[in-house]
Amino acid sequence: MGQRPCDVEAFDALFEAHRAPVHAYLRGRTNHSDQALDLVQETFMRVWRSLDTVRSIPRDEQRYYILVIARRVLNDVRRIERRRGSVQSPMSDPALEVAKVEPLGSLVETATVIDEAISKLPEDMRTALSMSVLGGMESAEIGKVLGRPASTVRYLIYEARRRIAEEVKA
Amino acid sequence: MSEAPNIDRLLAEWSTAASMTPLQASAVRQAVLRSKPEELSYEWWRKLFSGSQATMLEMRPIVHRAKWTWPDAGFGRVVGEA
Repeated sequence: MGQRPCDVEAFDALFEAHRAPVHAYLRGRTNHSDQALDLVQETFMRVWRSLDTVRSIPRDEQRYYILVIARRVLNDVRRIERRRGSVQSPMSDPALEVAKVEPLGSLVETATVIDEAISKLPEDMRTALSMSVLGGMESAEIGKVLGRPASTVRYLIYEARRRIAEEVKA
Repeated sequence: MSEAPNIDRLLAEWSTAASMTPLQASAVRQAVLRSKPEELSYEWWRKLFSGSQATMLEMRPIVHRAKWTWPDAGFGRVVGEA
């Protein structure tokens, strides 16, 4: 596909407007930061390839369209993983061990504790929380993506926070 | 009795650590605009980091991707020496 300057500009605008929600969705679904980044890339790769279609969609609907693409990307990957029967965890790569001991202070310590608590949440609860906290999305928006009423999303987020508080206190 | 944790603060800190960093976002964007993963040369990834103030934590997912693309390139070793 040849790159026209106006295409790149349009893509940049879409990427900037929607990368955080897409990342938050995939982070919640996968519970894995590296895999989420890979899937964000694959999602926007598909957006780039169907840029004209995405641009033809009303602006306020574009986010949902892109999140549907993200869901399809995730489903495709899960289907492949199921077929293979196992998933290689990038965390087990010894060449990356050095990254785990990088001293970044108490921020990482706190994040690790919270990360562990979040990873124990059921997938829908974790995704709703991630989309709210990382993606900055409202309950109604999240509900539209997850196919749940806003009130259910609010409950999921409330319950996620309660469980994290319990976990941290323990 | 233990003090109730400040969940808003904890989640804000988690969000800071878990969000996509500007470097990661830039890498994802550039990779997409290249569109063909096979065109992302080892040299391209190396240049991306040269002169950057990226931490290992930021580089990790990108290193991971590079290692999958060029398993024999010794990318992890090069970054480790940077």
